[in-house]
Amino acid sequence: MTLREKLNAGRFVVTAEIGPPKGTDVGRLMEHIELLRGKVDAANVTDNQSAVMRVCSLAISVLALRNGLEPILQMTCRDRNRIGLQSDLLGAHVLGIRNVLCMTGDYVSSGDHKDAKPVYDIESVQLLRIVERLNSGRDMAGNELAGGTDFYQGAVVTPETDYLEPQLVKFEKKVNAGARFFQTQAIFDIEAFSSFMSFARTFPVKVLAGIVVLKSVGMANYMNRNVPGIRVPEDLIEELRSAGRENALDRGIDIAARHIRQLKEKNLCDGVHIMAIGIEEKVPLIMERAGLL
Amino acid sequence: MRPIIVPPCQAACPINTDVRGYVSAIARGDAEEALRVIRRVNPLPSVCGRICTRRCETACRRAQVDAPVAIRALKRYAADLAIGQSFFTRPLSSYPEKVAIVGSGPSGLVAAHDLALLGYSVTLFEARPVLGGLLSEGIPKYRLPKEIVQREIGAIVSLGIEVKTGVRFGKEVSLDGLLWDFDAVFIAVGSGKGIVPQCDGVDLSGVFSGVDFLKEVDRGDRQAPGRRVVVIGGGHTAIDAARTCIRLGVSEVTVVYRRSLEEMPAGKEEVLRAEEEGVRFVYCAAPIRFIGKTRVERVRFARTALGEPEESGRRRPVPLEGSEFDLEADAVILAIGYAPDAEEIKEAGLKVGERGTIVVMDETGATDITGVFAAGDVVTGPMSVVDAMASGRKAAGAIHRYFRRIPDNAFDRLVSLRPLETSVTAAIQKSERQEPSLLPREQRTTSFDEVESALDHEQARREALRCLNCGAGATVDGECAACLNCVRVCPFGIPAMGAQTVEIDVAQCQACGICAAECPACAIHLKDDARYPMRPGVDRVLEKAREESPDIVVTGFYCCFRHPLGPPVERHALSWIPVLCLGRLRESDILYPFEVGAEGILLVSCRDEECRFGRGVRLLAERVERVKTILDDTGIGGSRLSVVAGDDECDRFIRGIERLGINPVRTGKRVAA
Amino acid sequence: MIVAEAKPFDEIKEMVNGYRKVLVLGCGSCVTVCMSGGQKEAELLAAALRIARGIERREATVDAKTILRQCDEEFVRQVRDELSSYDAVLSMACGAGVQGMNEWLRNVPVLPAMNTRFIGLCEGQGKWVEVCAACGDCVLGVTGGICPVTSCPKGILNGPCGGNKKGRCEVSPDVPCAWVLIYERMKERGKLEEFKKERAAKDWSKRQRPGRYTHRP
Repeated sequence: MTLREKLNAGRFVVTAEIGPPKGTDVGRLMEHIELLRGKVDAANVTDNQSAVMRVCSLAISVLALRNGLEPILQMTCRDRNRIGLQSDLLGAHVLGIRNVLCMTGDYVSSGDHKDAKPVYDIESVQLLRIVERLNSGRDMAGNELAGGTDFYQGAVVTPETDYLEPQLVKFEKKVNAGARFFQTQAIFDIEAFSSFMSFARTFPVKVLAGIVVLKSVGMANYMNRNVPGIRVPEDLIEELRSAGRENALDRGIDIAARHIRQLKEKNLCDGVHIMAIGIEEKVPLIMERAGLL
Repeated sequence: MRPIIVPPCQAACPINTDVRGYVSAIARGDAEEALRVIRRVNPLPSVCGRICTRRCETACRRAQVDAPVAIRALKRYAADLAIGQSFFTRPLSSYPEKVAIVGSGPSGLVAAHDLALLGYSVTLFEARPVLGGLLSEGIPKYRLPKEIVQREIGAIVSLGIEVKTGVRFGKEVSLDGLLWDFDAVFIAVGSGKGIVPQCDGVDLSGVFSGVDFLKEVDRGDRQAPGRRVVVIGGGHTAIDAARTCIRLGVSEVTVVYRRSLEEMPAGKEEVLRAEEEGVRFVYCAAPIRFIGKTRVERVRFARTALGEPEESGRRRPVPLEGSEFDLEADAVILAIGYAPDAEEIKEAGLKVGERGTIVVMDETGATDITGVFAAGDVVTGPMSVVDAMASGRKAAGAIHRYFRRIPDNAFDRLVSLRPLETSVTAAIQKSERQEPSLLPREQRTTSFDEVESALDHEQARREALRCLNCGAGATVDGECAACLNCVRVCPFGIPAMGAQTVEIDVAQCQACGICAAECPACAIHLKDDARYPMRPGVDRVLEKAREESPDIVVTGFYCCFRHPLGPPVERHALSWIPVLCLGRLRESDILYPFEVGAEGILLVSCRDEECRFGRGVRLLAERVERVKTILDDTGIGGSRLSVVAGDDECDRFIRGIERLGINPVRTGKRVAA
Repeated sequence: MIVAEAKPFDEIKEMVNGYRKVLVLGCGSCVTVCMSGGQKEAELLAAALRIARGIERREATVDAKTILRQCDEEFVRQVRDELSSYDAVLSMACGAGVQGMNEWLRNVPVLPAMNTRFIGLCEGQGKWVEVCAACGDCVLGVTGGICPVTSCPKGILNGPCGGNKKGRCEVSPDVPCAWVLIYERMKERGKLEEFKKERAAKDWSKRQRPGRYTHRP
């Protein structure tokens, strides 16, 4: 069953993330694919994440697909104009990719080519609209395609942002533009998330809650200070602190697993998206503790 | 008549002294320039610096903030530095006409001075053996030392004026005789006759005129007139007579005035001084009878109430029935006014007015006899010294125009700036008025020594810095790009957008210069800067400094508000330029000394929160950073520029500059930063 | 208004290196208003160049002058003779002025002392902010009068990205998120329905260069 089929069937899904390498050596990447295959339902392939230039997400998505891991192709609007994006989408479809996650993309200043000219010809809502259009057999300009696409397109949302109102409006716009599923930015407050979900549930879309594994007190504090849309509550930080420096990661894995279990038991959402940055190998352990394996 | 807008002090001054001009020169420490400004219009500055009625101070807008600037004291400070020194010389070419001036009081002296400088032959006739009229005989020396008067008169006479003393108009010379020998005659004989009230007993012995009394005292002919003296009147003569009596040893002196203190022409300060010396004052009482056998024994007064205002604007005193009271007195001094000697004038064939004054045609002082002019007390009745001086000036001008056939319509009309808006006064820093010190009371009652002393240097500088420089502010020219930057930086909120360009209300501008320094179009100009341009000043200072210190020259700009007494430190290599708030220095002003070869530049400003104009120091800091960058870029090096506070820092900076060596602009070698 | 800023001094100095007699020419319009290229700055730059050249013992004739607009031939013509006596003119005008001057002055090279930055508004004394990208397809009518094309680094047309933190922009944390401002403004004006409308991708053909405008086509 594909990701789309599982979600449509009401299965609680798990997605993870794999980052293309900077360079042509895919050795470590292959290890991650191997690790996740058969455990997660699909894996996002990031698109020059944080504007750091890497192997394109399309190539790595194909690699994952060929190795038995269903990819979710991330596409950002930073590096390609509408022609490039459509062209790559068609190419991806030809190569068998069906899941695509549409994003505007981090600004070039956060990456390693800060003097690059950012494109942003279009943005996430409009990209979703394009995918919808390609699915209907036409391109953005209205030209008929010799063979349309059949993408399962998703988008992102940040439910724990400190300024939610316009974010919710944008969520709705994305739904209207054709988003079928959402992956959220990391959530740590189940209560707050459930109130977001009561809003999201009014739309015909699937929502996968973002899970970030806390590795240390320092990391939690750093994210609170610097990462937009992430809010680690004080009691979780205290919980990490009480575990001591040595056992913090293990406790973080516990917290992630606990959250996943709660989400699933309360039927709050349709799955989880685990972002285990730098500790991809721990994903199976998290799933295990969450009772998903 | 063209209206010219001037500061209130200048508009109020009868001779239109450029008060702002000399006060700001004192503020900069340039007393010589101050004196030059004063002497331009005033040949008797040390006299005025002591006894002027100072209408300028009444008009001063600083009073809207705290207290008026002590203008008279500042004038005295500057004038006393060079009493009797000649500033102007007769022109090389002169006119053939000869002028006779009759009377050497302030009016005659000024007319003589002006006419001599215009190039006329002037002969000054004086009935008394000494020149000066009331200045020499009449105003007591504790207010106006006689040697001061004589030295100032000496400077006037030294312009080539012929003097004939002991010549009485109508006795030794006649108008016909003068007209025979001279091309014009100016009569300024004053009004030396005391007015006598119409009441019984005024002929008793012991009742005499205040003017005569003061003259006699000045001539040395007078002892104490009695033990108990009553002075009747409320003008300067009354107070002068009373205070003179005290100095002559009179034990009980009472001044009786028919109106209240408010209406008193002598002014509150004079009254205060007299009271300090023991003079008693009785207000709202008028004499109705002098009682005694042959000599006066007491005076009967009636209480008065103030009725309807009369012509002068003051309310008319009305005696109240049944309010009589007596004051015992063995001498009574009448000081209720004085008038010209009508007999003299009539005999001369001149038209005589109501109060015995000469009738003139107009402001010029021309009489109905061609070539004969008159002014001063003899025309108007008693007036203040500075008014008399103004009348002499007008007459001199009229005589010149009469000779040269210049039409008579060229008077400029001076109009005062409007009062300050409350929003502006609220933003002006307050500052205490500096008062001259006074002779101790015990010395005042026993001698005729001068009571008030001059301001010392520090007081004078501090006081001069209180001046708001009214009307010396910013003007905007046609280059204005309407960028509104001035509107944004002005600490007083004065610039405002006009139809095409920004307009700066000259009546409100505080002349801080901040907007001019920030104007990107160089479209804002300060009146002060036109008079004292920055660059020639720097050139001059640098040239002089280079002679003394060929290797290292450091130019210092210091804020006069922070260091009113002059440069914060004196060092061999350091040459200073005083600035009224460094907030008016633009980047190019700071850079300029480097361009012309200075090795270093020091800026000594106030502390940020103490800035007289609020944000001058802050803006200066931003500009300094900018200039440092330019210095680094150009290869001179930003470390050659510094904003410092104390002496230590100045020395450290100079040592640093010595290490850095000669300005590479001079050597042509790029020095590593 | 067009906002420009002076190039780094070294770059300017290098540019005029080969010329003996140089005129720094300020422009009396936009760049005077934004304080970077009026008479005051022209004088300052000229002084800096004189100093730098003096140190290097080079010809130091560097004068300063300003004309009302460098982007119109009529203004330039008035000073053409005077300008022709220089070996180079260092223009403090925007790019339009520099190009116009080169066109109309022919015999004297006109070099740019400025980097032309943007169309902006003054946001306090001595500070300007870009507010218009001259995109040729104005959306201000539907964004509460705040331009997301300019004020959002990503030029998003459909609401904030996930990156705003405490209402600040992710890309430049010292500036507010344009979309937060737009949302607040539209909420205040009761126009949230308008805010919710999806905005199609921009028509960038309006931005084809060089742009042209004819008053009466």
